[in-house]
Amino acid sequence: MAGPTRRAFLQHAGALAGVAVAAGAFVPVAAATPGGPRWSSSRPGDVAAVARTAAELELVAVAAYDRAITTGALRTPELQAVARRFGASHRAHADAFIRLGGLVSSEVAPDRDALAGAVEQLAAARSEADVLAIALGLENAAVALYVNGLAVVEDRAAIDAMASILPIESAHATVIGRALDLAADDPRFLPAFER
Amino acid sequence: MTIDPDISRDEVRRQLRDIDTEHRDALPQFEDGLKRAFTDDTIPSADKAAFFLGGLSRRKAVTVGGGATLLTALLAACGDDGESGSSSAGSGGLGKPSRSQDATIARTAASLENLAVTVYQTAIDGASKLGISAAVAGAAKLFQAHHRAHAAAFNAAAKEAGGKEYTEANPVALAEFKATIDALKNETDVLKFAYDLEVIAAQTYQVVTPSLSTAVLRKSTMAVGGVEARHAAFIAGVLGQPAVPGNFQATDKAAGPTFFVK
Repeated sequence: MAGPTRRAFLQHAGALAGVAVAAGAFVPVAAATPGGPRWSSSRPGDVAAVARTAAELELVAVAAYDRAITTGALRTPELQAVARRFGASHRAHADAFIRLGGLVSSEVAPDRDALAGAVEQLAAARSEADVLAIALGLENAAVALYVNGLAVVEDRAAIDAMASILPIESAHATVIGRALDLAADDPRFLPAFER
Repeated sequence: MTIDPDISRDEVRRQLRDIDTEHRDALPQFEDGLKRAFTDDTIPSADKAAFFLGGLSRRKAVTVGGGATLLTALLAACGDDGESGSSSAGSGGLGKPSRSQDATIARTAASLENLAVTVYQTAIDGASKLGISAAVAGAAKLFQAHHRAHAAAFNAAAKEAGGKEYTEANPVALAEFKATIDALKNETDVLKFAYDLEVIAAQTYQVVTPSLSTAVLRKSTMAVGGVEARHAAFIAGVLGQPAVPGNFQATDKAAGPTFFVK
Protein backbone atom coordinates (compact mmCIF):
# COMPACT_ATOMS: atom_id res chain seq x y z
CA MET A 1 0.00 0.00 0.00
CA ALA A 2 2.01 2.93 -1.24
CA GLY A 3 -0.41 5.81 -0.68
CA PRO A 4 -1.57 6.35 2.88
CA THR A 5 0.62 6.32 5.91
CA ARG A 6 0.05 3.43 8.25
CA ARG A 7 -1.10 5.74 11.00
CA ALA A 8 -3.64 7.47 8.85
CA PHE A 9 -4.90 4.26 7.37
CA LEU A 10 -5.22 2.50 10.67
CA GLN A 11 -6.86 5.49 12.27
CA HIS A 12 -9.48 5.32 9.62
CA ALA A 13 -9.75 1.58 9.89
CA GLY A 14 -10.44 2.04 13.57
CA ALA A 15 -13.15 4.53 12.83
CA LEU A 16 -14.80 1.96 10.62
CA ALA A 17 -14.79 -0.72 13.25
CA GLY A 18 -18.26 0.06 14.44
CA VAL A 19 -19.83 -0.46 11.07
CA ALA A 20 -17.81 -3.48 10.07
CA VAL A 21 -20.80 -5.64 10.78
CA ALA A 22 -22.20 -4.46 7.49
CA ALA A 23 -19.41 -6.23 5.68
CA GLY A 24 -21.36 -9.42 5.35
CA ALA A 25 -24.32 -7.81 3.71
CA PHE A 26 -22.97 -7.84 0.21
CA VAL A 27 -22.60 -10.63 -2.25
CA PRO A 28 -19.19 -10.92 -3.90
CA VAL A 29 -19.67 -8.95 -7.07
CA ALA A 30 -17.99 -11.36 -9.42
CA ALA A 31 -20.22 -14.09 -8.07
CA ALA A 32 -23.40 -12.26 -8.84
CA THR A 33 -24.20 -14.47 -11.77
CA PRO A 34 -25.91 -17.81 -11.07
CA GLY A 35 -23.38 -20.43 -10.12
CA GLY A 36 -20.71 -17.87 -9.43
CA PRO A 37 -17.77 -16.82 -11.58
CA ARG A 38 -16.50 -19.47 -13.92
CA TRP A 39 -14.11 -19.91 -16.76
CA SER A 40 -15.62 -19.25 -20.14
CA SER A 41 -14.15 -22.42 -21.58
CA SER A 42 -14.45 -26.03 -20.54
CA ARG A 43 -11.28 -26.85 -22.41
CA PRO A 44 -8.36 -26.73 -19.98
CA GLY A 45 -5.89 -26.18 -22.77
CA ASP A 46 -7.61 -23.15 -24.19
CA VAL A 47 -5.26 -20.50 -22.90
CA ALA A 48 -6.94 -17.69 -24.77
CA ALA A 49 -10.29 -18.48 -23.17
CA VAL A 50 -8.77 -18.78 -19.71
CA ALA A 51 -6.91 -15.52 -20.19
CA ARG A 52 -10.02 -13.76 -21.42
CA THR A 53 -12.06 -14.91 -18.42
CA ALA A 54 -9.40 -13.75 -15.99
CA ALA A 55 -8.93 -10.43 -17.78
CA GLU A 56 -12.65 -9.77 -17.82
CA LEU A 57 -12.88 -10.31 -14.07
CA GLU A 58 -9.82 -8.17 -13.40
CA LEU A 59 -11.40 -5.40 -15.44
CA VAL A 60 -14.53 -5.61 -13.31
CA ALA A 61 -12.33 -4.90 -10.30
CA VAL A 62 -10.69 -2.00 -12.13
CA ALA A 63 -14.09 -0.54 -12.95
CA ALA A 64 -15.45 -1.08 -9.46
CA TYR A 65 -12.57 0.67 -7.75
CA ASP A 66 -12.73 3.50 -10.26
CA ARG A 67 -16.46 3.88 -9.73
CA ALA A 68 -16.03 3.84 -5.96
CA ILE A 69 -13.74 6.84 -6.30
CA THR A 70 -15.47 8.84 -9.02
CA THR A 71 -18.96 8.52 -7.53
CA GLY A 72 -17.76 9.64 -4.13
CA ALA A 73 -18.65 6.35 -2.52
CA LEU A 74 -15.16 6.41 -1.08
CA ARG A 75 -14.48 9.88 0.29
CA THR A 76 -11.61 9.38 2.67
CA PRO A 77 -8.35 10.24 0.90
CA GLU A 78 -6.50 7.28 2.37
CA LEU A 79 -9.14 4.85 1.17
CA GLN A 80 -9.23 6.51 -2.23
CA ALA A 81 -5.47 6.01 -2.44
CA VAL A 82 -5.86 2.35 -1.60
CA ALA A 83 -8.60 2.00 -4.22
CA ARG A 84 -6.42 3.66 -6.85
CA ARG A 85 -3.51 1.41 -5.95
CA PHE A 86 -5.55 -1.75 -6.04
CA GLY A 87 -7.32 -0.70 -9.22
CA ALA A 88 -3.98 -0.17 -10.92
CA SER A 89 -2.87 -3.58 -9.75
CA HIS A 90 -5.93 -5.22 -11.26
CA ARG A 91 -5.29 -3.30 -14.48
CA ALA A 92 -1.79 -4.79 -14.57
CA HIS A 93 -3.24 -8.24 -14.02
CA ALA A 94 -5.74 -7.75 -16.84
CA ASP A 95 -2.96 -6.60 -19.14
CA ALA A 96 -0.92 -9.66 -18.22
CA PHE A 97 -3.76 -11.99 -19.14
CA ILE A 98 -4.46 -10.07 -22.32
CA ARG A 99 -0.83 -10.62 -23.33
CA LEU A 100 -0.95 -14.23 -22.21
CA GLY A 101 -3.97 -14.96 -24.34
CA GLY A 102 -2.74 -13.00 -27.33
CA LEU A 103 -5.89 -10.93 -27.07
CA VAL A 104 -6.59 -7.50 -28.48
CA SER A 105 -6.83 -5.12 -25.55
CA SER A 106 -9.60 -3.02 -27.06
CA GLU A 107 -11.72 -6.13 -27.50
CA VAL A 108 -11.59 -7.21 -23.87
CA ALA A 109 -14.17 -5.62 -21.59
CA PRO A 110 -15.29 -6.20 -18.03
CA ASP A 111 -17.58 -9.19 -17.65
CA ARG A 112 -21.00 -7.69 -18.30
CA ASP A 113 -23.00 -9.50 -15.64
CA ALA A 114 -20.38 -9.10 -12.95
CA LEU A 115 -20.00 -5.42 -13.77
CA ALA A 116 -23.74 -4.90 -13.56
CA GLY A 117 -23.69 -6.57 -10.17
CA ALA A 118 -20.87 -4.31 -9.02
CA VAL A 119 -22.63 -1.18 -10.18
CA GLU A 120 -25.83 -2.23 -8.47
CA GLN A 121 -24.10 -3.02 -5.22
CA LEU A 122 -22.08 0.18 -5.22
CA ALA A 123 -25.26 2.15 -5.82
CA ALA A 124 -26.80 0.49 -2.79
CA ALA A 125 -23.79 1.12 -0.57
CA ARG A 126 -24.59 3.45 2.29
CA SER A 127 -21.17 3.82 3.84
CA GLU A 128 -17.49 3.43 3.09
CA ALA A 129 -17.61 0.18 5.03
CA ASP A 130 -20.23 -1.08 2.59
CA VAL A 131 -17.92 -0.20 -0.29
CA LEU A 132 -15.01 -1.95 1.37
CA ALA A 133 -17.17 -5.00 1.89
CA ILE A 134 -17.92 -5.05 -1.81
CA ALA A 135 -14.20 -4.73 -2.56
CA LEU A 136 -13.45 -7.56 -0.14
CA GLY A 137 -15.92 -9.77 -1.96
CA LEU A 138 -14.29 -8.91 -5.27
CA GLU A 139 -10.80 -9.69 -4.03
CA ASN A 140 -11.86 -12.98 -2.49
CA ALA A 141 -13.71 -13.89 -5.66
CA ALA A 142 -10.52 -13.23 -7.61
CA VAL A 143 -8.58 -15.48 -5.23
CA ALA A 144 -11.18 -18.21 -5.71
CA LEU A 145 -11.04 -17.76 -9.46
CA TYR A 146 -7.31 -18.46 -9.50
CA VAL A 147 -7.33 -21.20 -6.87
CA ASN A 148 -9.93 -23.06 -8.88
CA GLY A 149 -8.41 -22.03 -12.17
CA LEU A 150 -5.21 -23.76 -11.16
CA ALA A 151 -7.22 -26.97 -10.94
CA VAL A 152 -7.93 -26.86 -14.65
CA VAL A 153 -5.13 -25.08 -16.47
CA GLU A 154 -2.17 -27.02 -17.81
CA ASP A 155 -0.40 -24.26 -19.68
CA ARG A 156 2.83 -23.27 -17.93
CA ALA A 157 2.48 -19.56 -18.61
CA ALA A 158 -1.09 -19.55 -17.31
CA ILE A 159 0.00 -21.39 -14.17
CA ASP A 160 2.82 -18.91 -13.61
CA ALA A 161 0.46 -15.98 -14.07
CA MET A 162 -2.14 -17.30 -11.67
CA ALA A 163 0.46 -18.29 -9.08
CA SER A 164 2.02 -14.83 -9.12
CA ILE A 165 -1.27 -12.93 -9.08
CA LEU A 166 -3.27 -14.97 -6.58
CA PRO A 167 -1.09 -13.92 -3.60
CA ILE A 168 -1.57 -10.29 -4.53
CA GLU A 169 -5.35 -10.65 -4.44
CA SER A 170 -4.94 -12.38 -1.09
CA ALA A 171 -2.91 -9.44 0.19
CA HIS A 172 -5.51 -7.00 -1.10
CA ALA A 173 -8.22 -8.87 0.79
CA THR A 174 -6.13 -8.74 3.94
CA VAL A 175 -5.64 -4.99 3.73
CA ILE A 176 -9.36 -4.50 3.25
CA GLY A 177 -10.14 -6.90 6.07
CA ARG A 178 -7.94 -4.84 8.37
CA ALA A 179 -9.62 -1.67 7.27
CA LEU A 180 -12.96 -3.24 8.12
CA ASP A 181 -11.54 -4.39 11.44
CA LEU A 182 -12.78 -7.92 10.82
CA ALA A 183 -12.18 -10.57 13.42
CA ALA A 184 -8.92 -12.41 12.82
CA ASP A 185 -10.66 -15.74 12.34
CA ASP A 186 -13.17 -14.36 9.87
CA PRO A 187 -12.63 -16.61 6.83
CA ARG A 188 -13.05 -13.68 4.47
CA PHE A 189 -10.04 -12.12 6.15
CA LEU A 190 -7.56 -14.70 7.43
CA PRO A 191 -8.72 -18.17 6.37
CA ALA A 192 -6.70 -21.32 6.98
CA PHE A 193 -6.86 -22.20 3.27
CA GLU A 194 -7.84 -20.24 0.20
CA ARG A 195 -10.87 -21.68 -1.52
CA MET B 1 -10.63 -24.32 16.54
CA THR B 2 -9.74 -27.92 15.98
CA ILE B 3 -6.78 -29.43 14.26
CA ASP B 4 -6.79 -32.97 13.05
CA PRO B 5 -3.51 -33.84 11.37
CA ASP B 6 -4.13 -37.56 11.60
CA ILE B 7 -6.42 -38.31 8.76
CA SER B 8 -6.61 -41.91 7.67
CA ARG B 9 -7.05 -42.96 4.09
CA ASP B 10 -10.29 -44.65 5.01
CA GLU B 11 -11.55 -41.41 6.45
CA VAL B 12 -10.52 -39.57 3.31
CA ARG B 13 -12.30 -42.09 1.13
CA ARG B 14 -15.40 -41.89 3.31
CA GLN B 15 -15.38 -38.12 3.05
CA LEU B 16 -14.90 -38.34 -0.66
CA ARG B 17 -17.91 -40.61 -0.96
CA ASP B 18 -19.99 -38.25 1.14
CA ILE B 19 -18.83 -35.27 -0.82
CA ASP B 20 -19.49 -37.02 -4.08
CA THR B 21 -22.99 -38.00 -3.05
CA GLU B 22 -23.78 -34.55 -1.77
CA HIS B 23 -22.38 -32.96 -4.85
CA ARG B 24 -24.26 -35.14 -7.31
CA ASP B 25 -27.47 -34.57 -5.41
CA ALA B 26 -27.15 -30.84 -5.16
CA LEU B 27 -25.18 -29.71 -8.15
CA PRO B 28 -25.82 -31.95 -11.13
CA GLN B 29 -24.80 -29.17 -13.47
CA PHE B 30 -21.28 -29.43 -12.15
CA GLU B 31 -20.78 -33.06 -12.99
CA ASP B 32 -17.98 -32.40 -15.37
CA GLY B 33 -15.94 -31.78 -12.22
CA LEU B 34 -12.47 -30.46 -12.72
CA LYS B 35 -13.03 -29.64 -16.33
CA ARG B 36 -14.31 -26.28 -15.29
CA ALA B 37 -13.21 -23.96 -12.57
CA PHE B 38 -15.68 -23.47 -9.80
CA THR B 39 -17.10 -26.86 -10.47
CA ASP B 40 -14.75 -28.68 -8.14
CA ASP B 41 -16.47 -31.90 -7.19
CA THR B 42 -14.52 -32.29 -3.98
CA ILE B 43 -15.83 -29.17 -2.32
CA PRO B 44 -19.11 -29.65 -0.49
CA SER B 45 -21.91 -27.80 -2.17
CA ALA B 46 -22.88 -26.07 1.06
CA ASP B 47 -19.45 -24.45 1.31
CA LYS B 48 -19.50 -23.51 -2.32
CA ALA B 49 -22.91 -21.95 -2.10
CA ALA B 50 -22.00 -20.14 1.09
CA PHE B 51 -18.97 -18.64 -0.57
CA PHE B 52 -20.81 -17.45 -3.60
CA LEU B 53 -23.58 -16.05 -1.46
CA GLY B 54 -21.37 -13.87 0.63
CA GLY B 55 -18.49 -15.71 2.18
CA LEU B 56 -17.53 -19.07 3.50
CA SER B 57 -19.47 -20.63 6.28
CA ARG B 58 -17.76 -19.42 9.41
CA ARG B 59 -18.30 -22.73 11.13
CA LYS B 60 -16.71 -24.65 8.28
CA ALA B 61 -13.89 -22.29 7.56
CA VAL B 62 -12.55 -21.84 11.07
CA THR B 63 -12.25 -25.57 11.43
CA VAL B 64 -8.64 -25.82 10.43
CA GLY B 65 -8.70 -29.58 10.28
CA GLY B 66 -11.35 -29.33 7.63
CA GLY B 67 -8.91 -27.53 5.40
CA ALA B 68 -6.32 -30.23 5.87
CA THR B 69 -8.95 -32.77 5.05
CA LEU B 70 -9.78 -30.92 1.89
CA LEU B 71 -6.23 -31.06 0.61
CA THR B 72 -5.96 -34.72 1.45
CA ALA B 73 -9.21 -35.42 -0.27
CA LEU B 74 -8.16 -33.51 -3.32
CA LEU B 75 -4.94 -35.45 -3.56
CA ALA B 76 -6.63 -38.77 -2.98
CA ALA B 77 -9.13 -37.94 -5.65
CA CYS B 78 -6.35 -37.21 -8.06
CA GLY B 79 -4.33 -40.40 -7.81
CA ASP B 80 -2.10 -41.21 -10.72
CA ASP B 81 -4.58 -40.22 -13.34
CA GLY B 82 -4.07 -36.53 -12.93
CA GLU B 83 -0.68 -36.18 -14.51
CA SER B 84 -0.40 -32.81 -16.07
CA GLY B 85 1.44 -33.96 -19.12
CA SER B 86 3.32 -30.72 -19.00
CA SER B 87 6.67 -30.85 -20.67
CA SER B 88 7.78 -27.60 -19.17
CA ALA B 89 11.05 -27.64 -17.34
CA GLY B 90 10.76 -27.22 -13.61
CA SER B 91 11.85 -24.12 -11.79
CA GLY B 92 13.81 -23.33 -8.68
CA GLY B 93 16.12 -26.28 -9.18
CA LEU B 94 13.26 -28.66 -9.79
CA GLY B 95 12.98 -31.01 -12.71
CA LYS B 96 10.22 -32.42 -14.81
CA PRO B 97 7.09 -32.99 -12.74
CA SER B 98 6.86 -36.46 -11.24
CA ARG B 99 5.28 -38.22 -8.30
CA SER B 100 8.60 -38.52 -6.50
CA GLN B 101 9.22 -34.83 -6.96
CA ASP B 102 5.72 -34.15 -5.65
CA ALA B 103 6.72 -35.96 -2.47
CA THR B 104 9.92 -33.93 -2.17
CA ILE B 105 8.03 -30.68 -2.62
CA ALA B 106 5.35 -31.68 -0.15
CA ARG B 107 7.91 -32.78 2.47
CA THR B 108 9.86 -29.56 1.99
CA ALA B 109 6.69 -27.54 2.32
CA ALA B 110 5.81 -29.42 5.50
CA SER B 111 9.28 -28.70 6.87
CA LEU B 112 8.86 -24.99 6.23
CA GLU B 113 5.44 -25.06 7.86
CA ASN B 114 6.93 -26.84 10.86
CA LEU B 115 9.58 -24.15 11.09
CA ALA B 116 6.88 -21.50 11.18
CA VAL B 117 5.05 -23.43 13.90
CA THR B 118 8.28 -23.49 15.91
CA VAL B 119 8.95 -19.80 15.49
CA TYR B 120 5.43 -18.82 16.47
CA GLN B 121 5.71 -21.10 19.49
CA THR B 122 8.85 -19.22 20.48
CA ALA B 123 6.88 -16.00 20.32
CA ILE B 124 3.96 -17.47 22.26
CA ASP B 125 6.16 -18.97 24.97
CA GLY B 126 8.22 -15.82 25.29
CA ALA B 127 5.39 -13.33 24.99
CA SER B 128 6.02 -11.78 28.36
CA LYS B 129 9.77 -11.63 28.04
CA LEU B 130 9.59 -10.28 24.50
CA GLY B 131 6.92 -7.73 25.37
CA ILE B 132 4.47 -9.11 22.88
CA SER B 133 1.04 -7.52 22.99
CA ALA B 134 -2.13 -9.51 23.39
CA ALA B 135 -3.19 -8.67 19.84
CA VAL B 136 0.05 -9.91 18.32
CA ALA B 137 0.02 -12.99 20.54
CA GLY B 138 -3.48 -13.76 19.32
CA ALA B 139 -2.39 -13.44 15.72
CA ALA B 140 0.61 -15.65 16.42
CA LYS B 141 -1.63 -18.38 17.78
CA LEU B 142 -3.96 -18.16 14.80
CA PHE B 143 -1.14 -18.20 12.28
CA GLN B 144 0.55 -21.06 14.09
CA ALA B 145 -2.68 -23.05 13.87
CA HIS B 146 -2.81 -22.32 10.14
CA HIS B 147 0.76 -23.50 9.66
CA ARG B 148 0.11 -26.63 11.67
CA ALA B 149 -2.85 -27.37 9.40
CA HIS B 150 -0.74 -26.64 6.33
CA ALA B 151 1.97 -29.02 7.55
CA ALA B 152 -0.61 -31.73 8.09
CA ALA B 153 -1.99 -31.17 4.63
CA PHE B 154 1.42 -31.26 2.97
CA ASN B 155 2.37 -34.38 4.89
CA ALA B 156 -0.81 -36.06 3.74
CA ALA B 157 0.14 -35.06 0.22
CA ALA B 158 3.65 -36.45 0.67
CA LYS B 159 2.28 -39.78 1.80
CA GLU B 160 -0.18 -39.94 -1.05
CA ALA B 161 2.70 -39.30 -3.44
CA GLY B 162 4.58 -42.25 -2.02
CA GLY B 163 6.82 -40.37 0.38
CA LYS B 164 7.02 -40.09 4.11
CA GLU B 165 5.73 -37.26 6.22
CA TYR B 166 8.22 -34.74 7.57
CA THR B 167 7.48 -33.63 11.11
CA GLU B 168 10.55 -31.55 11.94
CA ALA B 169 11.43 -27.99 11.10
CA ASN B 170 13.43 -27.60 7.92
CA PRO B 171 16.98 -28.33 9.06
CA VAL B 172 18.76 -26.03 6.62
CA ALA B 173 16.48 -23.12 7.39
CA LEU B 174 16.66 -23.78 11.11
CA ALA B 175 20.47 -23.71 10.99
CA GLU B 176 20.47 -20.63 8.85
CA PHE B 177 18.04 -18.75 11.08
CA LYS B 178 19.17 -20.04 14.46
CA ALA B 179 21.16 -16.93 15.23
CA THR B 180 18.21 -14.75 14.28
CA ILE B 181 15.83 -16.75 16.44
CA ASP B 182 18.21 -16.63 19.39
CA ALA B 183 18.56 -12.88 18.99
CA LEU B 184 14.85 -12.08 19.09
CA LYS B 185 14.52 -9.43 21.77
CA ASN B 186 11.18 -7.73 21.31
CA GLU B 187 7.89 -7.73 19.46
CA THR B 188 9.26 -5.91 16.45
CA ASP B 189 12.05 -8.47 16.06
CA VAL B 190 9.51 -11.27 16.17
CA LEU B 191 7.20 -9.59 13.68
CA LYS B 192 10.02 -8.88 11.24
CA PHE B 193 11.23 -12.46 11.37
CA ALA B 194 7.71 -13.83 11.07
CA TYR B 195 7.17 -11.58 8.07
CA ASP B 196 10.32 -12.94 6.43
CA LEU B 197 9.21 -16.52 7.03
CA GLU B 198 5.76 -15.89 5.59
CA VAL B 199 7.24 -14.25 2.50
CA ILE B 200 9.65 -17.15 2.03
CA ALA B 201 6.77 -19.61 2.27
CA ALA B 202 4.49 -17.65 -0.05
CA GLN B 203 7.18 -17.25 -2.69
CA THR B 204 8.36 -20.84 -2.38
CA TYR B 205 4.89 -22.17 -3.11
CA GLN B 206 4.62 -19.92 -6.12
CA VAL B 207 7.92 -21.25 -7.45
CA VAL B 208 7.22 -24.94 -6.88
CA THR B 209 3.63 -24.91 -8.10
CA PRO B 210 4.42 -25.28 -11.83
CA SER B 211 6.69 -28.23 -11.00
CA LEU B 212 3.95 -30.30 -9.38
CA SER B 213 2.63 -33.13 -11.50
CA THR B 214 -1.08 -32.58 -11.13
CA ALA B 215 -3.40 -29.64 -11.43
CA VAL B 216 -5.07 -30.56 -8.17
CA LEU B 217 -1.76 -30.39 -6.30
CA ARG B 218 -1.00 -27.06 -7.90
CA LYS B 219 -4.34 -25.75 -6.78
CA SER B 220 -3.90 -27.08 -3.27
CA THR B 221 -0.41 -25.64 -2.92
CA MET B 222 -1.51 -22.19 -3.94
CA ALA B 223 -4.51 -22.50 -1.62
CA VAL B 224 -1.85 -22.47 1.06
CA GLY B 225 0.40 -19.94 -0.68
CA GLY B 226 -2.35 -17.36 -0.72
CA VAL B 227 -2.79 -17.71 3.02
CA GLU B 228 0.91 -17.13 3.63
CA ALA B 229 0.57 -13.99 1.54
CA ARG B 230 -2.29 -12.90 3.79
CA HIS B 231 -0.18 -13.53 6.87
CA ALA B 232 2.65 -11.48 5.38
CA ALA B 233 0.30 -8.66 4.47
CA PHE B 234 -1.18 -8.63 7.95
CA ILE B 235 2.22 -8.53 9.63
CA ALA B 236 3.47 -5.88 7.22
CA GLY B 237 0.51 -3.73 8.17
CA VAL B 238 1.36 -4.05 11.85
CA LEU B 239 4.98 -3.15 11.09
CA GLY B 240 3.97 -0.18 8.98
CA GLN B 241 5.48 -1.67 5.86
CA PRO B 242 3.82 -1.92 2.44
CA ALA B 243 1.32 -4.72 2.75
CA VAL B 244 1.05 -5.50 -0.96
CA PRO B 245 4.33 -6.34 -2.68
CA GLY B 246 3.64 -4.85 -6.08
CA ASN B 247 1.32 -6.07 -8.79
CA PHE B 248 2.85 -9.53 -9.00
CA GLN B 249 4.46 -11.55 -6.25
CA ALA B 250 8.22 -11.78 -6.66
CA THR B 251 10.21 -14.97 -6.12
CA ASP B 252 13.55 -13.64 -4.95
CA LYS B 253 12.98 -14.88 -1.38
CA ALA B 254 11.81 -18.38 -2.34
CA ALA B 255 13.60 -21.30 -0.75
CA GLY B 256 16.06 -22.86 -3.17
CA PRO B 257 17.12 -26.46 -3.75
CA THR B 258 19.39 -26.51 -0.72
CA PHE B 259 16.28 -26.34 1.45
CA PHE B 260 14.62 -29.32 -0.22
CA VAL B 261 13.93 -32.34 1.95
CA LYS B 262 14.31 -35.50 -0.09
